[in-house]
Parts: sequence; C-alpha cells; structure tokens
Amino acid sequence: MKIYKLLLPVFAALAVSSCESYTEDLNESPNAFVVASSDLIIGQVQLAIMQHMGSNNARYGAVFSNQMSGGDRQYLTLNTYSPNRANYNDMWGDTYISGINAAQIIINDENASALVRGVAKIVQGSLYADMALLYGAVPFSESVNPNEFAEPAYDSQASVVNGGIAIIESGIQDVGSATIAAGYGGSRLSGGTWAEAGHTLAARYSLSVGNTGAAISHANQGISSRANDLVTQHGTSQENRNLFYQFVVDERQDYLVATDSHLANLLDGTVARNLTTPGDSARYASYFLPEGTPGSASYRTLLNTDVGGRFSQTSSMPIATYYENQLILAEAKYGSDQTAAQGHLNAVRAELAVEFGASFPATTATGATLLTQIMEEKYITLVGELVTFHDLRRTNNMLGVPNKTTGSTAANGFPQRFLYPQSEVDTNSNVPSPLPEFFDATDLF
Amino acid sequence: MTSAMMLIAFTALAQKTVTGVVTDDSGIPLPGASVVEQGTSNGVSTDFDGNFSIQVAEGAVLEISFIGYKTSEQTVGSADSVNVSLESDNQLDEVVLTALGLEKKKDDDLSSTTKVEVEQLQRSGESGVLQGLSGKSSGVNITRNSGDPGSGAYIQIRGQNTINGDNSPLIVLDGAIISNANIGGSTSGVVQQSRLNDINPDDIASVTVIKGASAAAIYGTGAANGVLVIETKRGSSETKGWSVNVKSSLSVDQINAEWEKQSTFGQGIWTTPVGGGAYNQSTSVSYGDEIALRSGGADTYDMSGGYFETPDGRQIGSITSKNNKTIYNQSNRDAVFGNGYTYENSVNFSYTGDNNRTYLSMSNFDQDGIMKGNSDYVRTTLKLNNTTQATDKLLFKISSSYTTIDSNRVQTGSNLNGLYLGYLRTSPDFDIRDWQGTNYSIRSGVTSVTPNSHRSYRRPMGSYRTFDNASGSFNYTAPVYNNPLWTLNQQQNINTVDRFIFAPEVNYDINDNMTLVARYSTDFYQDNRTDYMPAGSAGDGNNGQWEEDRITEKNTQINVFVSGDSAINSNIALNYVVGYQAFENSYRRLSAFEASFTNPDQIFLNPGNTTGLNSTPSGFTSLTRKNGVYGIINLEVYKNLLLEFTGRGETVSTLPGAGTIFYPSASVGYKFTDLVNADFLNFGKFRLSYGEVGIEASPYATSTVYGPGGIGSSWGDGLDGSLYGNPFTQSSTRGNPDLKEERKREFEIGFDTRMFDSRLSLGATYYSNATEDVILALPTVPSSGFSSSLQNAAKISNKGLEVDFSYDLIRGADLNASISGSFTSNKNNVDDLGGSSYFILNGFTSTSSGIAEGHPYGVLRGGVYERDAAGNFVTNANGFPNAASEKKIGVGDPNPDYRAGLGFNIDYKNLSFSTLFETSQGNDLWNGTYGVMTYFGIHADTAATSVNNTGGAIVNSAGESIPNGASFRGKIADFGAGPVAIDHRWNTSNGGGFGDVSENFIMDGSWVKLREVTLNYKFDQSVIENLNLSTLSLSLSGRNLFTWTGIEGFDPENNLTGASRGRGLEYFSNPGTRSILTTLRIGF
Repeated sequence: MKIYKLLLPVFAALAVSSCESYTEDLNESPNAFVVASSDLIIGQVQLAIMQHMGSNNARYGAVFSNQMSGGDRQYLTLNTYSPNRANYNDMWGDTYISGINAAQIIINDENASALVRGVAKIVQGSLYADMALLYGAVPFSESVNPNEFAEPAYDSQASVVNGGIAIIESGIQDVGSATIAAGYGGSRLSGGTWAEAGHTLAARYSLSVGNTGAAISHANQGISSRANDLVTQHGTSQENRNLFYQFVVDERQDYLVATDSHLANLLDGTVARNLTTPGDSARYASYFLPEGTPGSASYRTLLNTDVGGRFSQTSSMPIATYYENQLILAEAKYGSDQTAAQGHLNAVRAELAVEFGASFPATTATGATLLTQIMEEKYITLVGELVTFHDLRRTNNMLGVPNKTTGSTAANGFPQRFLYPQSEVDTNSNVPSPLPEFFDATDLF
Repeated sequence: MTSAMMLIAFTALAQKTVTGVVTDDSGIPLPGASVVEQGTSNGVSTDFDGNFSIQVAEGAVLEISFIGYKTSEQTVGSADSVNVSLESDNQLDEVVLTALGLEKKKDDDLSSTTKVEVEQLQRSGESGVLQGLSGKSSGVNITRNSGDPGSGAYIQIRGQNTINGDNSPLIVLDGAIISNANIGGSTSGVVQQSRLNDINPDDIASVTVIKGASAAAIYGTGAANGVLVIETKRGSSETKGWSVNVKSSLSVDQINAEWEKQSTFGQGIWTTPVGGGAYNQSTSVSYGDEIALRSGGADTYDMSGGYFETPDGRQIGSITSKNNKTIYNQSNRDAVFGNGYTYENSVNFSYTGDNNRTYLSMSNFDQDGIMKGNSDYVRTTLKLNNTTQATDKLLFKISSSYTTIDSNRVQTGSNLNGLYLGYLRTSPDFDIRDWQGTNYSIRSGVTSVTPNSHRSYRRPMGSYRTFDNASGSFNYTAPVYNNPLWTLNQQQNINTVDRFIFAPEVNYDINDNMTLVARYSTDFYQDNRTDYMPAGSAGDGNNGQWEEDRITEKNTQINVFVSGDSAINSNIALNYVVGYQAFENSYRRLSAFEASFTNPDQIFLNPGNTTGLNSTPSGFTSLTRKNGVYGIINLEVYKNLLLEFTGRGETVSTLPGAGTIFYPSASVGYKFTDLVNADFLNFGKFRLSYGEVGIEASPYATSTVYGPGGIGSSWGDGLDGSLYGNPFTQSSTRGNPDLKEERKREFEIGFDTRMFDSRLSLGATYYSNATEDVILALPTVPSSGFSSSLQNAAKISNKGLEVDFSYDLIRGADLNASISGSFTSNKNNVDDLGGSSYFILNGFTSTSSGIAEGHPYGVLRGGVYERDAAGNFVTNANGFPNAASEKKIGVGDPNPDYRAGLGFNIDYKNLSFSTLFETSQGNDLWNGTYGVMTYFGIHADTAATSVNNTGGAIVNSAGESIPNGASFRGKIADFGAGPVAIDHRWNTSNGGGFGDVSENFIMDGSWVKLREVTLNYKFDQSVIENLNLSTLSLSLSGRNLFTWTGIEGFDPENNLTGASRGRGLEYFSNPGTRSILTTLRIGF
C-alpha cells in the first residue's frame, strides 16, 4: 500500500509531462495546403463557370426550353417537369462554393494583381446574375462571408442581377485589354479580351432586367467577332471532354436526346420557321443525329456527338458569343430602331452562312415578325445555352414553344425557375417562405 | 475428562496415510488440486500426476477442490486409498478478460461482459472471426457485407454513436491494439474485407466482448464502441510435452436467395398499352414481344454493317427478324453461379515444458466463390506464441503472427461494371454465354477488326473500336452494361494483404502482491488493391482502366502498468492497476490510376500504358497519437460488496484544442446470494455502473485547407482539375481548431444469477448512454461559401436491454442437453443534430441512409408520393399520384427492434449436436434492385397481364387509354381517383426505381436464420489409441441453411455499402451464401 501511494504521484507526474509532448503538433495535414495564391485559385473559378454554363444547369435549361428532351430514367422524369429539390443541391453548391466563393477569396486578396481580381469579378458577377435569373431571390449582399453571415439573407432577384452587373463592370475596369489567353484562360477558356466578354455578359444581364439602354451600351463594346467568343476548351481525356459529350456518351447514354423537341422540329421542318432558312438542314446535321425511320415509334433524335458535331468530345461550349451579342443588340434596338435591329439579325445570318456553308437569307421583316425572328434565331443559335431558358421566360414564351407534356404554348406553361436546393432549405432559415414552386414565376419574369 | 482424553488418544491413534489420485471426469489427472481436511489447516496439493498423500484420521472429511471444478467432499473410511473424480463446473469460476486482458471472475464483473469460447467461434467454419461472433452475445450486431469470398462484416456494440469517428470496437489481441479497418464500402466497387478477419479463428482461445463504457474506460478515447479482447492459444498448461492438432475441412457454398426474372416478354419496347411490344435488340428494357408467339427457329441477321464472331466461329449480325423462342434465364444463371468450394487446412503444435509453453500454428484457407470467375480468397497464417518463466519473478510472453491474403473480388452495386447490374437487367431472350469474341465492323466498305470484343444485351454485336490518329489512341464503343461473364472473367480486382502482429510482454513480480507489466505491440499490414477493366468494359472503363491502391497501416502501442492487491483490513480487500499507455497510428495510401490504354490488346497491370494526362497518382498520409495515464481500483468489502473506480487522463493529437481529457467511471456490485439464502439460488449479483469514454476527431480536421480543384456533377460529368492547369481551391469543409472529444456517458444496471443447481444462468442489463459533442460536418449554408463545417454539435443516444441465458436441460453421464440464448433491443435516437435536418451517411441522392434529429441513426430518406392532410394520394389528371417535392426522412428505419440468438446443444456419448438460430426483427430496407427491375420490365412481377374488367376505359400514367375488355401487360390499381392501369409507363416513371419516389420499395427486412447446425462425432478412445492419436473427431455443419423472411430475391442481411455507416440499402449487391462443411480434427 505504501509503495502504491508513493508510486502513483511519481508515475503520474512523469506521464503527464511526457503526455503533451508526445501528441503535440501532429495535426498539420500532410495531405493538403493551408495557403494558395490567387493566381492558382482563379482556375477553379473558371472551371465553375464552365460547369455552371455547360453542365446540368444547361441540360435542365435545354429540356425545360424544349431544345432537348429527357430520354431515359431520371431524365424521363425531368421531361414531365417533375421537380425534386435535392437535384439542385450540386448545381447550387458548385456555383456558390467553387465559383462565387473562390472568386471572393481572390477579390479579398490584397496582394492579388488587378488582372486576376478583374477576371474573378467578371466571373463572379456573371454567376450571381445567372443564379438570380434561375432561382429568383438568392443570397448576394451577405453571401460567401461565413465569419459574419452564417445564414446569408436573400436579396431580390432584380437587386442581385443589378449587383452582378456592377461587379462585372468593376471587373472590366480591372482587366484592361488583357486577352482571355493572357488573363488566366489557360487550357480552360479562350476568346478575345476579357473586357469584350465582360461587356457581352453585362449586356445579357442588363437586357434580362429590362435595361435596354445599358444592354446596348455594353453590347456595343461586347464581343466583336466569332473568333472572340468566350468559349470553353476541351480535350480527349476522360474528364476534360465537352460536358454534353461526357453526359451523353460517357456517363448517361440515352438520358438526353432531342427527340420531338421544339428545336429539332424547327430545324427539320416539322414546325415551320418564321424566317425561311434553307441552311437549317446543315445546322440540324451539326446539332443532331436522327436514328431510325422518321415516324416510327423507335425514331429518335440524338445529340450529334460525332467528330464535327456540336457536342463532340472536343467541341467548345459557348459562355458568351458574338451571335448573342448581335442578337442582344437586335432585340434591344428593336423598340427604337428596327432597321438597326434588322441589321444585327442579318449580321448573325451572314455569319451563320459562313459557319455552316449554307444559305441563311437576310430578313426584310419589320414589326412583331422581326422580333419573333430575332428571338427564334436566338433560340436556335444558342443551343444548349442557359440564356435560352431565361429568354423563354423573360419574353413570356413569345415563340410559342410547346410544353413537353401538354403541348400547351401558354406563357407560364413551363417551369418558371430552378427550385431552391434541399441543401439550402435545410440550413438557411432565410430561404423565402413559402417556398416558391416550379411553376411560380420569378419577380422579373 | 477421561473420555475427552480417550478421544484424543483414539484420534491420535487412528491417524493414517491416505493416498489417492484426483482426476477430471474423463480420467485425466489434475495436478495442483487442493486436498484439505475439513475444519483444519491440514492440507496438501496433488503432484503432476494428480497423486496426493495426506495424514488424517478415519472419519475425517477431505475437501478436494480445483479451479474450474466442483469441490468434492470425501469421508475417510477404512480404506487407505481415496480416488476422486471432480466434476467440471465451468460456470462457477467462469473467467472473463478485462480491457487490459487480465483475467477476472465473471462473478466479480460489474459490467455486462460476455465471453465467446473457441468452440462456439469455430463451429460455423466462417472465414472470419467477425461472422463467427454473430448471434453469440447480446449487445453485438454483426452484419455481413455479402457472400463474396473473404467478405468483411460490420460489427456494432450497443448501437451507433459517432458520425465521423471510428465505429468499430477497439480490438485488443493478447494486449496488442490491432486494426479492424474496413477501408471502402460504398454503393459501388468491390466488397471489402474487414481486417479483424485476417486472424485465423483457430488460433483464438476466446473473445471477450466488453460492452459497457465503465469497463472500457481505461482506453478513454477510442473505446466508445466497446472492446473485443481476444486471447490466442498458448498451449496447454496441464499436459506437458508436445501435442499436435490437425484440422481439415471442406465447405460447399451455394447462393442463398435469387431474384426471379420474367420469362414471358423479350427485349424490346412497348409501343401502345394494348397490343404488345416490339423486339428491339439494343434497348435496355424487356417490354418487347411475347416470346412464345415468335415463329421459332434461328434469328435472321443482317451482316452488312458487320458482325460478332464467337470463339467457335459462329457469326452474329444485326437481327432483322427475331424468331428464336428460347428463354435463357436458367442457362444464363448457370453460367454465372455455381457451387463455391472452400478447403481449410491447419496444423498447430504446442509444447509445454517446465518453464515454458509454446504454440505454433499454420493454416491455409482457400475459398472459391459461388460466382464463376475471378472470385476467391486464400488466407495463409502463421502464429507463434511463447510464454517463458525466466525466473521466479520474471515472465516473458510473446504473441506474434503473420497473415498473407490473396483474393480476387467482383464488382458489385450501382456500377455499370458490376456483376448483378448487368446480369439482372439482361432480357430473358438474350444468351449471355456468347460474351466474348471478335467484332468485325464494316464502314464505307472497309472491315475493321476488334479483338476481345465484349458482347452484352445492349450491344449484341459486341464492343468495337476506332483508331484516332490525332491522339494516337483507340476509342471503344462499349456495351452500356457489362455482360456478367465479362465482369467475372475479364475484369480483375486483385487484393493482396500481408500483415504482421508482434506483441512481446514482460511481467515482473515486484513482490508477492505487486506485479509490473510492460507491453509493446505493433500491428502492420499492407493492403494492395489492383482493379483492372480491359478496354471494351462498360461505362468509364470503355477504353480500359487500371488502378492500384497501396494501403499501409501501423498501430504501435506501449503499455506499462503495475497491478497489485492488498488487504486494507480483514474485511476490505484492495486490488489496483495503475499504468501509462501510448498509442500511435500511421496510415498511408498511395494510388496510381490510368485510363484509356495505349495498348489495349494485352492485360497489363502496371503504370505506363497511357499518356501522362490519363495517368494520375494520388495519396493520403496520416499520423495520429494519443497517450495517457490510467488507474483502476477494485474494493471488495465484506466479501459481497464490490466497488470499482477507473480514471484515465490523456492527450490526443487530433484534438490539439482539447487539452488533457479525463474519463472517470465507477461501478458497484452486490452479491446477494447470502442475503437471499435460498436453496434454488446458487449465485446472485446486482450491479450498477457509470462510465465515460470518448471518440476523437479524424486527423487534420482542425484547419481549413486548400488543394487541387476540379468540379463534377452528381451525374458523373466533370472537369478534372489536373487536366485544366491544376487550379487550387479551398476545401468546401470548414476546419475547426476548437474541436474537442466526443464524449459518451453510459449508465447501466443489471444482474447475473445462477439457479437450480446452477442449471440456469441468467443475466440481464439495461443501459442508457448518450454521446455528446459528436463531431459532424454540419451542413452549412452553401451560399455562405462552405458546404459543411466540423462541429461538436450532435448528440446521439442509445438505450437498450440485453439478456443472456443458458439452461442445462439434461445433465447426465452420457446425455447432456442445454439451451442458451441472447436478446438485444437497442433504441437509438439522434437527439440533436446542431439544427441541420439531415446528413447523408451513404447511399444515393434518391434514397440514402443518414441521420436526422429525432430519428434513429441510419434512418432512410427517400421520395414519397404527394398526400393530402388525410393521408390520401394527391392524384394527377390521369389518376396517378405525383411525387412530393420534398423527400421524406424516416421513409424507413434500418435498425432492428430487436435481435436474438437461440442455441441448442445435445451431447450424447461421442456425438454432439448443436444449432443456432438468429433473428433480426423490425429492420427496414430499401429494395432498390426491385425498383429498377420493375423499371426494366424484367422482374417476374412485371410479366403479369390483366384484362380491363372495370366496365369502362381506363388510362395508364401517360394518359393512354385501355378500352374495356382489352388485355394489357400490367395490373389495375386505384390510387383514389378510380381504377388505372399500372404498366410500362408507370414502371418507367414514378412507379419504378428511377422515379422520384422510393417509398414503394421500402420493405420490412426482418429475418430469422438457421445460422448454424453442427453434428460432431468424437471417435472412441479405443479407436484413437489404436491409431496412436490423442483425439479424432469429424463434424458436419451447415451455415445459413434456411432464412425465413418476407424479402424475396436476396439475403436481407447483406448490405450494399458494406461495413460503412450507411445501413439498409440494397442495389444490385452481390448475393449471400449458404454452406455445408465437413471438418476432420486429429490430435497427436
């Protein structure tokens, strides 16, 4: 007993002193970094906008706009506009975390160059505006600032789009005349200058809030030629291929097709075009591949993923283009100067004739017909781009695109928004209540 | 006075020498048995041969006792010789092991500890220790991963209590802390092993299951899931010299449940609800024409676009007319499944000398699975244990082992390359046996040849390739799903493991009452996993994929303690342990991955067969340590009152913000046998204990980090950062420097009794525990910039009842029969989840197993149909229910209401018979396979045809009309808006497995199993002696022979996500097995 009494404190004292040093300073991860320069992070921001504009957002948008169709399993459900909040978790999270938040790290970095911050701003502003157009009110003023706002408030749709435009404008100030290639585009993005691309993006979002003046002003400084289009770059490796190609060929065969889509019908003549376009057969061949005998039950229209096709392994995906820039000008000027509007549409048509080596006759139409022709050209030309889904809702379905299940061409016969994701509903008490449903229009549209 | 004197004189006169032999009931001498004259201090011990010699008077009573045997009283008569045979009484002195591996009488145990003996463990002939424990102790839940050879199992003691921490019990083998890692376990890939199963079950002497926190508390952080204390064989302590035991067994495995596929309709698409489907040779679904109505004869082919040539020269072209009426379900099945065979051979040598004991064993376990192909598991083990008494005070012990495993695994689960996914979806009119050959493709009049072409039902002319001159590589067009025979024969998943465990120990007796014990142990393994998919495999494997993972883990421990006892006074006895323990875990995983083989025409299991862009290495390293001081004090007051206090103070490297962590525990027990003083009661003890243990954070969770980026959607498409300039990104999980330990507090109360001449033993325990500050990656608001943040935010509680009993029905010389059983009911509840509503543990976006506040751990979340306030379906214009826009948490609960085991043993002379039934009741599961087989029109249920007898036209879910009186493939149902037709339209939307609803596939997964049945025959002594043997026995066993369950198609005990935390999911997981085995044991 005595020995025990003696031993215990000695033993304990020895052990406790050695205890701490044995376990100290071992919790610094050898598997990760705690610092990263903004020049490294900007690439992730760019991947995020590539993903935002070209992955599942674009596929959903294309199905909802009836440019494409769901063909199998979960995408069949999508084709019947059956909503599911959880499906939006990734799409929302990728844009906010990899895109907007990573951009904010760069914007907050006082040591970062003006160029890298400018690029981050152009991308971040675009993502903010686009998120607002997809979802309605979204976090903006309190977002990506976790130290101060654990649960960011939701700002109104218009204020977020305008806020996004302001960030893009600020970014344009920072990037000077840097080209995409010199401005961190690397193997990810290519095009003309960041300033041109930024202006086209600002024009897109200005138009979406009905600010035609700003849209014209920005578009005038926007992408000046097809060669300057801001597009994604792809290769032949498993995970740098065109995202439509990856989805359609590598990952989910049969899910995404264009069978009986309005776009396919317009291009193959099933539905007459407002502006007769012989070149559409060449355009159809670029976009789509028919399979089977037309009229038979097994007839399908597939996305053209072959070499040379619009959705081939290495095809670039557009983020902002000359075509869109011209069509923004056409639409924005339509109210004030129809001749100019005509001119911009015809500029697009002339360029399409070059692109497809086929006949895209100029329009001579005026009035409502001209506007319809502008919007129809935009609907067809911007295949697979999210902006089509925005335009469809913004114009109250001026084109009369039929609903996939009912065939109705009513203005509100389409999904009016993406659903707030389950991940946000679960964690943020500021999510609008009651939760808006699939067919509830957003404030702006 | 005179008479008194005379009596003394008489007594003195009558003193004589009595000699005798003390043996056990089988006649084996018992050395060291005590022979004492009753009421005196006159006593002797028996020698090595059981002989004794004692001076006593005639009429004296001798008490002969030996540990583990009932004490015998013998009155000395006129004879000078008294031979005594002691009756075994294991229960009386049943010994359990403490967390430190020290022996303790079960009667003095103040917590609920059970011990599983070697015989019980071995009877099932399972390859793994874990599976062998199933049903043998209350409070322990064992779930098999699958029937794959060498498959691991999930073990959970007293319910789940952590989200990110380790969920396996601490494993202490001969004092060494060893790994029971279960690396892997997701919705796809291969079924993984559990590292505890590396141990040869034949080397184990016993497994003590320590369930209570108070008993485990000396290990502090790391003991929150209980402790398994394993003792390996050390050689006989009784018989000196050599003994050799040989075991040889053969086991035959069969698939124990199979899916029923329809055999009426062929591959094809149903065009209209009425009138039938049309054959289509590449569609995924089986909504085609009625096979029996075909013309018969051979199919006609169009060879103009090319063809597939089988190895025996037959050519298969594009089918222009499907004439063949043959149904291939059975022949396809027989090509995939057959009998599995396992050969197990082992030999052990033990030597007992004067001062040492040595045990040496070798074993080989060689299993070929029921899946015909690359599915096997070969485990070879070596073990050497030695105990040496160097001096009176100094004892050395060594436990060491080496295991090597070589195994081939089969891809499973939600996996285009998995066995069952392709097998079960295959249409009944497709013959999978022509799975491999040569593809001849004719394009623009030019024929190109693809060797090793992979043919499956969705690519009936086989995979083919084109050569891309620009990239200099082949591009394969592959089947959408693998042919199962391709999965089994062409894909390889090789797993090799080498493992050493070395655990020396020194015991030094400081004095009679105090011993110093110093232990060192190291457990090291390397687990190499090679996965290979040849070009032409489905999915991402189309251009070939190879991956090698090299995992090493090392667990090192130093444990030094002093144990002793002393009597404080005549009524209070003290027993104490005080010690220091340090533990280090180091882990490294280094992986290489290549895709798109440059040269796909040869199996090449090394890097260097692709371009740099497609070759990607990766790795993970971790080093964690903890150390602490602990002490145990046991007090025995007036014999019947037992008190125990334990404390541990420690520091943990993964919790630098937590400082020194202290875990206290206290227990009290009272033996009420004397108090009750009733004849029927042989022993009774009441016990009460409280304990605290902890769980540490995963390493490196305290900081927010940056790493290489990249982005991908949940659909699989994505942009790999390394192919895009390798940009960096911030982790989406926010680090937390203030993390502290998860602390489990447990209170338990129970009793242990033996009654009716110790025939009945019954123990029961009620426990209630709560783990607070459970660390979870608390989902944060994504728009705040992080998707999660690690916080000590959750609280999980378990309450349960454990009962163990045994009853000797018959005790006789020739006939013995007993019944024993265990019952466990655990109620788990996630009391608090830090305000977040749901956290996925494993599974799919559509249906998953996760945690949610107010629900039990592992609760299932899935889509449900929209319902009104009264609970009725909200139906659409066609009369079908819509999917609700939010998924429901609690669509099912995978936790059983209770589990129980019931065993019978009958011994008659040389013959013994035993059975074990086990059940799990009230556990739900998500039957995703059924849902998807419904979608594909391949499950037998989808072949039903109905006649519309409703008196009017009805519609299907697409609004297509079925006139009155018309026959259609499907069923009539009513969702509340009148009768509707359930047909392919409903199956392929929200009525099938790919819809947004999973509630219709949540099923009651309760089961009862005949876990084991064993007949063992010990050959007669005469036979054995003639053969110069010491023992010879032959046994015949059945394992999982029968399962009673409402689940059809698969073994409800299997779990898709293996030993991961996600429970209750079924999705094309590899099947379970039943087995029959014969074992021959020979002792020399």
